[in-house]
Amino acid sequence: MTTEPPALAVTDFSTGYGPMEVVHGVSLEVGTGELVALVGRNGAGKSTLLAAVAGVRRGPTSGRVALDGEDVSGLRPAAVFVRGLALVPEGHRLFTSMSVEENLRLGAFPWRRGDRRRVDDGLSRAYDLFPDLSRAARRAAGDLSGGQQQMLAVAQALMASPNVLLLDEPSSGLAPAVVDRIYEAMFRLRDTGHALLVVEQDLERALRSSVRTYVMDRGAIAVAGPSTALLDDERVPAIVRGTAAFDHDQ
Amino acid sequence: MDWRLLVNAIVTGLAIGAVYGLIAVGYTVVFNATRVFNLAQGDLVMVGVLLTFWALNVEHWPQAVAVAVVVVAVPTLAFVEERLVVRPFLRRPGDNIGWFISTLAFGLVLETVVTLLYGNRPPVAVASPLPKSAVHLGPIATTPQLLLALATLVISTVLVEAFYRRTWLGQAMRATADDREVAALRGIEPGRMSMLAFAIGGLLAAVGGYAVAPIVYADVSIGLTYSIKGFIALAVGGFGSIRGAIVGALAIGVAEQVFDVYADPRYEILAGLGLLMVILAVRPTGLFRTAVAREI
Amino acid sequence: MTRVRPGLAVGVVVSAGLALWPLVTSAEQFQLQRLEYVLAGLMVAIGLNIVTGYAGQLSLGPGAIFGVGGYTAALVADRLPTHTGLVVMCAAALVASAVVGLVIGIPALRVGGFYLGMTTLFFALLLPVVVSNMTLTKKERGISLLANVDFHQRLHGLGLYEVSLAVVVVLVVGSWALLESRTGHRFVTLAASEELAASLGVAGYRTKLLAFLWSALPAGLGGAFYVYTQQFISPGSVAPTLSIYLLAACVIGGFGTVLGPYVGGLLVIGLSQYLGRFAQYEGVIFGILLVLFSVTLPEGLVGIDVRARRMPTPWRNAPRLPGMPAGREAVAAAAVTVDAGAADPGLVAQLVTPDAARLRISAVRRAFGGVTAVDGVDLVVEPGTVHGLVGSNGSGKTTLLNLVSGFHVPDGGTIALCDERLDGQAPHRVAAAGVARTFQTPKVLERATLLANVVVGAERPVPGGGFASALRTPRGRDADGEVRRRALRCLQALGLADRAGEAAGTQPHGTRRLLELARALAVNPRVVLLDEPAAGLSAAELQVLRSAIAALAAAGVAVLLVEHNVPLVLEVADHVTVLHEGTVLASGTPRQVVTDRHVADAFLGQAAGPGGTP
Repeated sequence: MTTEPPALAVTDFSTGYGPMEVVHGVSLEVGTGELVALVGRNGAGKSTLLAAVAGVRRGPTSGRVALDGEDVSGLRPAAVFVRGLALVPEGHRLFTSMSVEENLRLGAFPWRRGDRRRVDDGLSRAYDLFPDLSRAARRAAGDLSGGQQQMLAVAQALMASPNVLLLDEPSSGLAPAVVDRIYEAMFRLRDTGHALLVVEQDLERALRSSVRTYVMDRGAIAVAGPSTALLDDERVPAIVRGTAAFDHDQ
Repeated sequence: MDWRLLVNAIVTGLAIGAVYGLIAVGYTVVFNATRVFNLAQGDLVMVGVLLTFWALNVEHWPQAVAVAVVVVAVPTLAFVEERLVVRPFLRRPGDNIGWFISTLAFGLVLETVVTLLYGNRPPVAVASPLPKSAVHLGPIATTPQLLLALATLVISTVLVEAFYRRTWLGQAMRATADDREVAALRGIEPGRMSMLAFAIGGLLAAVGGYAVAPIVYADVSIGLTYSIKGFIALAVGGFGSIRGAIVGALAIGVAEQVFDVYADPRYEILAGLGLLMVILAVRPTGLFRTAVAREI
Repeated sequence: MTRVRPGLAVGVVVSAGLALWPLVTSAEQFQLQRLEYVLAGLMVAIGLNIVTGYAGQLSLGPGAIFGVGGYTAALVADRLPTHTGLVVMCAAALVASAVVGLVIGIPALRVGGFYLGMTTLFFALLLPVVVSNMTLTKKERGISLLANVDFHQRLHGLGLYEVSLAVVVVLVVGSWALLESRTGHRFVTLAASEELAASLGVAGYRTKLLAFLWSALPAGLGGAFYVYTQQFISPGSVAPTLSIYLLAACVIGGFGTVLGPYVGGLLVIGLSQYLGRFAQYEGVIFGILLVLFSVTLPEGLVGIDVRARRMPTPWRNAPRLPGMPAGREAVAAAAVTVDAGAADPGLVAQLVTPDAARLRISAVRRAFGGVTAVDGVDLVVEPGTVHGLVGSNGSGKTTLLNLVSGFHVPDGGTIALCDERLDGQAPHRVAAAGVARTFQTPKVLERATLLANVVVGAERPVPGGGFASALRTPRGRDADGEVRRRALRCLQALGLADRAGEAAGTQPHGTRRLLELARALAVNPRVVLLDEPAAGLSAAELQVLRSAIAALAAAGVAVLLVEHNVPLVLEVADHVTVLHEGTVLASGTPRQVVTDRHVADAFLGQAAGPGGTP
């Protein structure tokens, strides 16, 4: 084993929403070439955690986020992005009034000067990954179908070729066939040396696609381990589906 | 009644409307990037007019120097405004009233400071480099200065639209208006975009102030009036649409001049009120506004 | 439990100080007139606080209404000097200000946002221009009652000062009573969220207009007192900067608080009277103060106390909300024994007694831009049953809910409650017909207590008027007591009664969801629309939700439940409809739907998964 730091290391991280702390002291790691899943019930704090790791803090935040060992905690979202971490937020949020290609180009905004190659490479990679998008290049992003919008959101995040990709419910609201294609793209990214952290509602898909899974409950990691081992762990569906016998409130 | 009177009123109205149009375009640029309505925009134009007056009539500097002074000073003020009185509210998403009050207050401070420096004097005509003689286009008589105002509006609008469509920064500003958070996640600093938007708004105020100074005279108290007429232009045209803003602005200009001819120039301000009331009664969202789905 | 209210103490001390001030210093006419000018300004500021502070509608032209009231009073006095005294002048000013309030408010309030602010500011700007040109108002010279030999101040000197002060105090108390009344509750709800207010049956436009009118009357009164005490009005008296200073008074004192305009007005208008040779810097001083306060202390001086008690964190993105029924005293006053924390769904049967009504949705369509969100959906919710609506994100569930509750207008099809058509009706009318709803992101009054949040719903089924409630007539008090008892029992039904006195803004997500449900119970609904009520609930809270939904149905309510948690829907629903891309994919009993092959393919296959049954 090498001593090289992981692509993404989150240590003792707490954050909140407005006055309330909703994530309490979470630690997790994602290595290069790994696809790691984060699961849990609605409201468990997954989205808030992902957003805060990417620099979008909605409440008081503490703890450490490191990319390849470099501390990026406390940086603004734009600065985190430039250092190689891209978040695809939930609900395929895009610049809806602009065309597909304009959306993609803006994904490489920090590299707009003097580095045309990077932008053009990014575009061809995006179209290669999602051929649907090249056919719709001139259409307004707001007019695409839900599946195409999600592909565009992922492709936009990839324009700057980040090392670490955080995806918040990329399959949400999409037909299974479309989800399969998005996951295929994610596997390709994993195999080309990206580190991926995915929040996934579909527990089975999460466990089967990832190398490791963190199960979040009420703002903390309740269970974590190799996904193959967790497939048979009864605690996991109990926590994720809200039927856990134990309840911290009582 | 002489129909030429009406035609000339319309032509003069279009030129006066160009002044309002420049304010309305300034509003739109700022609004599109920040969702903030800069109530000090009219006061920025007023500062532009008075700086022009000071540079040309008091200091007797050459035109080029006057332009340079105005074009540097006014955007700087807008820049300061963004940092001091607008930025804190952009970070407070629930607050939709704060920036309104603070930009109004900034305009008040500008007006008071200029009054203190300049004194409470009656309006004075500003020297114009253009010939005073009328230009005749068939039966229509107009002055080069009025044509310059219209040309300034047209050129500024074309440039702003090209900036939005063709440049990285313009695109990033549109993106910030679409979704501030996603923009930040893609490396676009929303704070820089709003600063840029205010700087462009300031530049429009500066150019507008210089171009219209000989028409509107050096008058400290015009700022708020211009801010409001710019707002009426947007209300008539529809928020967010630059073309709508210009149509609305020209409509006010013409309505005022026609009012002067057929009613009473002393109550000219009522023409804008009438236009606002009609648009609120007939089409409250403005002429060019498209429906947007509400998030509930 | 009795407790000294700090606000009351401040109010009494300030008022007593003002009353004694001229006795202690000097009662010279000149000094009194200055103080009376401040008092007239206070009246306007108190009015401004009603529309902007309570109802959240930014008004920037209080000076214009003040001016119209003043000019009207001056004209009446100047024309009929021997018949006119303070009372007649006040009456004339009130009528004039009400008329102007309607003339401005009716068009300007049609469009939301800052249109009212800009339109009123425009009036503030044009009034001096108009009066300085009109012969009627004696142009630039203005109207001087001093110059009118036939006009005499029957009330003058110290007496006039004390009367002015008394009027200010009455207005402060009145604005407090208004805030605590049903009308005030509607204002505050509207300020927090127009959608929330509409879903509780509050007619947005009419309520805003009412708030604007209530703010115009004190402004007009201020105008009359200005003219009577100063014996003079001119275009300079109604300069647009006056409106900005009045705004500064409210911002510095604290918008939305009862005492904010009183304290802030004394500081700002008082300061403007005593600036002396610094008067030329007035605009800079107040402009900078205005920016400083709105940036660093948005709650104002009086609001500091509110923040310290209710929002213990530096996060201030919550809307500014004033008091509403305070916590523990109200709980004690409601005289209900509270079992700490335990939910009591049995109460639902007593609280909810609707006329049974069937909700029928037929062939409803709605498109946004090019995307058809809901495409010909048929659905019936029988009274006394739970109808589950499931489907992936973007399948049209929430759009359908918004169509039923009137937030969207369908492009085609009909929605009916019994025989009453709901489609095309405004949201507040749909709510008035008996349709209650919750929101995907709970909408609560952050600064108000849990009890106050439910009170705004409980006021619907309990008869009683705004005036009776504001004036505290015996009947009004009875009705208010009944409302509070009902609200508290609704909280009790969901196990929230022991937290009735806490601020909603400090509650965790699950509590907010249950709070919305309590508010929905409180309106005694015929139909309840629930938008993902289970999202983010703990196991214990889920259990409360389950039994509350069952109790609602048992009481005869038609429940439409939009939910991602499929096991929950399968358990509580009598009938389930599956939406997919805006159309009905399947509809039937939970058992029929689960075994439907299309459903398995399109949706349940991924969401329910292995072990997905409860």
